[in-house]
Amino acid sequence: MGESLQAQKERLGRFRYLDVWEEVPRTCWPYTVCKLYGAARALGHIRGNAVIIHAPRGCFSNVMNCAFFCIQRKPPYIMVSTQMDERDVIYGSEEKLRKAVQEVEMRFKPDMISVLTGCAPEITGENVAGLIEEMRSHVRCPLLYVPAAGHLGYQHEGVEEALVALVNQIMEPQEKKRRTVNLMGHLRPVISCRLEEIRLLNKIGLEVNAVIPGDSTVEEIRRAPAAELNVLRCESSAEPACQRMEEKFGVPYIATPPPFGVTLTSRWLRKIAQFFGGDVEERAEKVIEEEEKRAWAATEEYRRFLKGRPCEIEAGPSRFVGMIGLANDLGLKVLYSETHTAHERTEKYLREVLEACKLDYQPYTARDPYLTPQQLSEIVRIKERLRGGLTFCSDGNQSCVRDVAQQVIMGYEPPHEGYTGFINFARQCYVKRRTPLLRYIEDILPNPPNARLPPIKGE
Amino acid sequence: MSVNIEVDKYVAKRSIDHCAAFGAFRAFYGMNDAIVFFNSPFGCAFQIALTFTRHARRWPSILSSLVMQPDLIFGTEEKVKEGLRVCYNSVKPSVIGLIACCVSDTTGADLARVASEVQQETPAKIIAVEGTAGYRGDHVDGYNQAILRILDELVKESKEKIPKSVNLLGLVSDERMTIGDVIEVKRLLNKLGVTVICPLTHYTNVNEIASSSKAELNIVLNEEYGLKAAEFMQKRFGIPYIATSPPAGLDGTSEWIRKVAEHFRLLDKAEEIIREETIETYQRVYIGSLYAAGRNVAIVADPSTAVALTQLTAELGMIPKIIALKSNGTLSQDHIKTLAKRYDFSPRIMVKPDYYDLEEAIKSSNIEVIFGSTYEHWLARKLKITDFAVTYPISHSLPIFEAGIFGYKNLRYWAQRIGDVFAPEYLFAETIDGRYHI
Repeated sequence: MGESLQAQKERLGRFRYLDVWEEVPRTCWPYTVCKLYGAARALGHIRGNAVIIHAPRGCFSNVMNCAFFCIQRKPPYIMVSTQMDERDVIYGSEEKLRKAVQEVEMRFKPDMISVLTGCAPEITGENVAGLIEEMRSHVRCPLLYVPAAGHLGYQHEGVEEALVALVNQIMEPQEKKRRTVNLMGHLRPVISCRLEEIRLLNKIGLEVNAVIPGDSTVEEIRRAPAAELNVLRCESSAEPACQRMEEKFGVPYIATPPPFGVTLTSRWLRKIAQFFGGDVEERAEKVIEEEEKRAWAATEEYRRFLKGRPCEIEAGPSRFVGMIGLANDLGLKVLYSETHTAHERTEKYLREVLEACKLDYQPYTARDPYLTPQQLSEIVRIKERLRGGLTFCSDGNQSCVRDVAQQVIMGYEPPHEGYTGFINFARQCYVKRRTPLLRYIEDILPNPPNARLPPIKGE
Repeated sequence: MSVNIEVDKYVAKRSIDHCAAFGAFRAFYGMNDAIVFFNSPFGCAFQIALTFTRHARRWPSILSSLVMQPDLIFGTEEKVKEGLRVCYNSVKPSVIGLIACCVSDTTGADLARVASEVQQETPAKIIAVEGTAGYRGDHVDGYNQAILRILDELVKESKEKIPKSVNLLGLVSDERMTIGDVIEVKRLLNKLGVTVICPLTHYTNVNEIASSSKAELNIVLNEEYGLKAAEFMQKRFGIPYIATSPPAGLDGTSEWIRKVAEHFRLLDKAEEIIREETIETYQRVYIGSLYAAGRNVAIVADPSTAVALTQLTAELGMIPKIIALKSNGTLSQDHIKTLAKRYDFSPRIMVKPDYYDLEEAIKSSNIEVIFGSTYEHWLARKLKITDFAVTYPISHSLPIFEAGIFGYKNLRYWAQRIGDVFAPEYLFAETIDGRYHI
């Protein structure tokens, strides 16, 4: 049953276009996910919320496979689809949606129902908004509606609208709880992602009132305005919700690059502590000193090994900025970084990070999905210098496939937030970079032209 | 023995099938040097690609016209034309599969015309597949539409026939078990003296497809994916086909070999192979079956894969209690009924079930082993039962070893894997409290 080495090489090498993937102008390169994906991701992991995707079966299965089983790594709590068929497109599907809402209410008895529409009902011009408005008085729980057709926008717009809808329709005025914060825009429900942040905040004397939306309950969202401060976690999608909360409930927010790596985590803690002042600030300084010491000591061997190695970072807006800080703390040289969505706040974050990390060089950063052929060939040239280095990317970043031949691929396995995440991530980089099999992989897989550059010193 | 066939009646459900555009993509994915161009918003193409990257650990060849709101007003055809030119000039594939999605079909984009216009300037064959909007059918419908278009465009009529040659139809290249299945089926056919001209589609070259009309026989390995192609080739090129129960398990594989051999009048040789393979297989498999026997099984897969797994597990003495089919597959339902009668079990067949119902059914049926995808893996984790990843999408397990379901060798593989899971229960059954737990 085994395949010969030659056969395997031929099989793996058959996709010759992978080598030229970088040269495909991004005018036809599907580089990011759609609005429906974002809205479903934001609402799918709220306990007690039933999500109805009013779209054909493909939208549902795409969202389910991609958002929940690839990125969120956990199935949604309650999510169903109306599975629109040809008849619905021709004769209209409002009646079907009405029945679906009634059925979901009877069947799951949710605390909240969210209706998301895909491309088909938006193009045929169904009056879903009118139907939802009419049904609100007939349904016992809050009914949210987010028009989320793929052709209407990107992931972050879907998340944005879903979060604003939560602020407008679910949150209620609350009495303020002293020294509490909300973490806004934490999309992943995986506990390890936010555990470190909660631990650090607790250590400086603060309590986390709600983590929105990841894995919260409808009740927690309702009580969110009780917090004294909102900490913006995902700047590209959660800022409008923070602004709305400030307007509606008087909860201020702070926006600071995410706590990745030692430098940025300390900065993040200080920023939050500054807001509360007094003993919180004092405590924060003590915690930072103690935790920094622990993190540097635990990663000494790893940092020595990784020092000076080139790396590239490809990620969503806030992560890509944070990862520059983390990589810098590990002693890696960031040659190239890329994100799929440009955002004003992200650019501000980037400047802050470069300043905070005292980088004496400017990593080549691509933020526009529509790059010119000249820019693309420059990127290819930069990437050729990455041999022997590391690639930090999520599964969705295309170039990683081509780069398998050259580099170690590092996914964003949690936790990599905070000091504990830094230690964990440093170890992961060290372990994966040392795999002896890497040499064989380099020989078997097809290499792009000019990829064979001299090895890095000390290797 | 009783067989219950259930079809749910929900207006809104958590479905386990995929859309027609995805099915069409799968047909092209199995072709070497083909690239797929979706006339869709970026989300459709990117989300399929991202799931595939997790599933196959490789970025698939997908491009898209990236339809946005203004394109709905001005039309998408110009964008597609430009995209196809870019696609050819930068990637230079042999075949470009141009697939319609919901937006394309709803706005009435004429992809056939676009393809024929661009075809004049590009050497790559552009195959337009229309009517694959998500609301027009499931993944099986889309696959069949695309495969018929591929055959229509690429197969060259030939009067010359290669003696003792076959095409394998109904292969879905991205399915985790396909590679192992094809290796084993080819091995058995080679032993019989039969050559495979074209596996449709699994690492298939354009030349192989072009010369597939030279085959003497078409063998349908998965009825839902291969039957329509077989009927098409019979009508167009006069190639007969066989579509039996898939070659899984000892009995299933032997019957299948006999059926193929009968066509080529090679029955004596077939009996010799069956005898030799059976002797080698049953002794080894028997040990595994000692640990597998009597355990309740749930199978969630496409119809033909479900039949193959039903045959395989039933032969190992397991009890297929729940069989959830991702598409209709009426022939497969009949095969399952025959198997239920032969091996004496009473399955509950759920056709395109609602996932929450399926979950309840598995919880209430005392299931010990699930064969399925990553969806079922989550369920298995929750219920603390064993699961095996056999069908799309699989994001929790790696595509390293070329295992399959078909044939004798794969039966040995599964007997080993299942046996390995349960054998320690017997070996270490005595626990600290001194009680024997089996």
